Amino acid sequence: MAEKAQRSFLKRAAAVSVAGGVVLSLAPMSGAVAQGGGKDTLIVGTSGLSNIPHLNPLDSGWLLQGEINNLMYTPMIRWSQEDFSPAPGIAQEWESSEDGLTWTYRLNPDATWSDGEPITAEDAKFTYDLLREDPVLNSRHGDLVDNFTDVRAEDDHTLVIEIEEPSAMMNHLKGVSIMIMPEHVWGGLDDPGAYAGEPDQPTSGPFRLSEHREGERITLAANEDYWEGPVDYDEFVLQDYQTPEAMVQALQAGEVDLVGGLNPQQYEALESREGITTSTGPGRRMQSLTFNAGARTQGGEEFGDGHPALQDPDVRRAIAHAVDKERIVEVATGGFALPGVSYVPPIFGDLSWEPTGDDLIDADIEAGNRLLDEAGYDERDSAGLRVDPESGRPLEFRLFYHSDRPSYAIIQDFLVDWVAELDIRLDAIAMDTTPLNEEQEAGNFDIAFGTWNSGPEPSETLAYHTCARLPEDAEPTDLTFAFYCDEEYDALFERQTAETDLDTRAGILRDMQQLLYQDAPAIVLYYENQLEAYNSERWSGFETQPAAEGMIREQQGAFGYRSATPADGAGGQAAGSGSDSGSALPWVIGGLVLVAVAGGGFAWMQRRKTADDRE
Amino acid sequence: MSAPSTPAPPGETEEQPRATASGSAPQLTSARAITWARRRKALADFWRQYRKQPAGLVGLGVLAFIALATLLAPLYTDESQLRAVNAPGERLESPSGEFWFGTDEVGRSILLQVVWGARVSLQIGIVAAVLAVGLGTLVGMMAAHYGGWASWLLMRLTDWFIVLPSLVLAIALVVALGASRFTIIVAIALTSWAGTARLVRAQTMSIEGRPYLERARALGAGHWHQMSRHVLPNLMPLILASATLQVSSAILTEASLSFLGLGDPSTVSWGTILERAFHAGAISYGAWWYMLPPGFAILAVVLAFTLCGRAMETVLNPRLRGAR
Repeated sequence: MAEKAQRSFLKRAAAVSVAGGVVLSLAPMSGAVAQGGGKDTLIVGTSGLSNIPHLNPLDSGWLLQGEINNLMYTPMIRWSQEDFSPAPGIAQEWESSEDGLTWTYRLNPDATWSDGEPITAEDAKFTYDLLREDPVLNSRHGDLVDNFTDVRAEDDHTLVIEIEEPSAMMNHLKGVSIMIMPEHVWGGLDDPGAYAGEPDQPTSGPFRLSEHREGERITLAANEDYWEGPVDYDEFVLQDYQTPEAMVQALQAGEVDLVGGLNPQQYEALESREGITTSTGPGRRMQSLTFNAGARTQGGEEFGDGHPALQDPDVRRAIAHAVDKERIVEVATGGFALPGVSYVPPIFGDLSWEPTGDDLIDADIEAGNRLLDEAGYDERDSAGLRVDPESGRPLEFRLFYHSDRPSYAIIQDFLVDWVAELDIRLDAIAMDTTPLNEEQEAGNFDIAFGTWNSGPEPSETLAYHTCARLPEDAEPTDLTFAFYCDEEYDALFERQTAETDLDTRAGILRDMQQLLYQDAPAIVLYYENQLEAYNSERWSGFETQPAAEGMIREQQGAFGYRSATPADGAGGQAAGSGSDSGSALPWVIGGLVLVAVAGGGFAWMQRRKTADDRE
Repeated sequence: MSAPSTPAPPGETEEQPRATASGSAPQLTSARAITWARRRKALADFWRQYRKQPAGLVGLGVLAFIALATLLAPLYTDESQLRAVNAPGERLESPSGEFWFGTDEVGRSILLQVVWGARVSLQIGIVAAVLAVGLGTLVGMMAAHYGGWASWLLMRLTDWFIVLPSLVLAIALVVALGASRFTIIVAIALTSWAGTARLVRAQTMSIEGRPYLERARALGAGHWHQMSRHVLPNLMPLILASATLQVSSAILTEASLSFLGLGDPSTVSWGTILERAFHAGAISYGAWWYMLPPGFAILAVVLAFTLCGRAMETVLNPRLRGAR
């Protein structure tokens, strides 16, 4: 479930116009989502709903689509709430043959669709066959199903899959990324790839869709007789807010019950509010610096305008020595993050690698300078910058950062000064997201900021550093982060792909992260905490994933939403405790200033008008 | 020629001295000296009238103070403290003896940012206003002078820009051209010249109807001579007042654009401080010291420029003066 930051020109314009609408969105919402009729409705505030083009469960790339899918469907195999290990979903148990080429999945006989029909192995076979044949769906799930040679239903509750090459993915069948669809309904669809989500279709999870208002709100109705036990409330609403600030105000006003994606200041402000409970835990979103490790094609033809010195791992490692991740975490995130290591966040347990002893690249300018001296970068030019002995160019790199992400503007300030102590100059350049991505994909960059959400299947992320991801021709590509290519790394990647023993595979995955850490095609700065808050006067019982100190929203499952329980009599309760003098004061002051400014402008316009009239 | 019964507005003194100077002021030797003497007198007249308006003086005082504070900033502050690395304070400290206006989410002094932000805000405001008024003057003069289809074309273009919502157009321009100080200036100038063009056209037509211009034409003055020697000098007071008022609106537009995230993120301006405060959650946090100082700074400068512009307009337009 990787979501690369991608915002188009139009979206940027939309975001801007939307920011202008802040004042509007702060006004109390219409009664449309107000609670009524004794119905318990869990309202979750989010942003970015307008990115969601459709609700096709088999063609989902956005985090929000994933959240909705998890509420409506049950996957074959879940990611456990405890630690993201594979856990039973529709399939109760599974095993492979000796050679690892035949896998047998036994389905839960109690599993039913929300219309009462049983969920059978035929449904699973239908779904996997669909993924193998439909071009749209195959482009998203080919990594799993293209390896299938035969899928058959032995009986109603036994599914057998034959595969060509041994594959670690058979242990989880991509978890929540692939949901099984009902053959008795989907069998009649003309073009399943174009399915956009229709109300009241039979589902296999705790909810079914009741309304999707594009860019505004998604409403789900609870399935009263969900086979794993229905939820304690009747309706789930995902409500879009244009800015986090508007969302925070809505939470305080009681218009929304749960919000995520807060910043440290908002989180701290909400911590002290009565009736609101905050929750934080390590998340899976990471922020990183990506180097242009030498943009080239599979055939070795170089392209782009990256600085040649960055192809040398010593230079990249020296820069890594200059980066004080602890300090960045403290200043840019208020301490709500973990210093980064590699591409698998620590919440994924033993899949994630921790450097110890000599492996650790700590914040140590002297070590960085030593490294550069030993690697032959000991000449200085007239400006005092180190010179690359091979190309003769001074070590002066462009650092691209996104103009719409405030934390990057802070971090780049630090980086420029820290790296200057290595006698290397960074030219920080702010860019819009779209042109920045385009330059990066074309290899026209030296160092660029980036963000990434890693899923419980690490190979989906680690694949971005394999040689196979280099482009065939000298054309832009978003399939590789850093144009990195290393034979040893590729060999490890091949090995983990074929390794079906989970522990052995975890070991190989850790080795790969160690290698990436040492070679430093990218510096992972930190893993952001998920910062959330909910109305605890109305709701309680939100469970997190991982179970200890995890997140409520953006889970790889629906554990948080399923465990929520409404407080007694909350159904008819009026919205929140309303206005609170504590938060009103800054608003009043802000309002006065606004009025003063607007009034001044208005008066000026008026005077001008009357002056003209009097001519 | 008889003396006018009311003091002539400075903008219209062009022809009287010329008419009288020929006979009664033999001590003035050249045409250049005559012109300069006339201009000095006009300026002194202008200042005498301006001085009578307290609001205009207050505005001027505020502007002088802000200009000094901005220009001398490097002498009494440390610019390096604007960098996150050198942030002297803690996260979102409230105002104290050390930080009069508190600190931002990184620990930088808000006061320092407001002082340095003035440079960018004022620079953008003034340059954009000068460009806008320059463009407006050019279009207005051409339309009035040439008339005919050229006038029609230019005026329809002007009308078009007047009816376009200027902020929306500015946003579109900045998004299309990419955010930087230069593009913001261009965007503001391109969206705010139209009002000046209409004003200048009207005034040019009234000037061109005066007899001395007819005389000049009869004596064979070309377009350029008429425009540069006769029309433009008479327009200057109007243009100056218009530009002063334009600065106010340019500063406001710059702040709006920056607040919407279209500013240059590598520099501090008042608008970008407000934007950062909003995104840092200053409202939820109750960090009023993050939002008020840049807000008041915008208010003060806009007000000061408006007061000055109004006062100038009053001096130049006797009908407004009479209304006081």
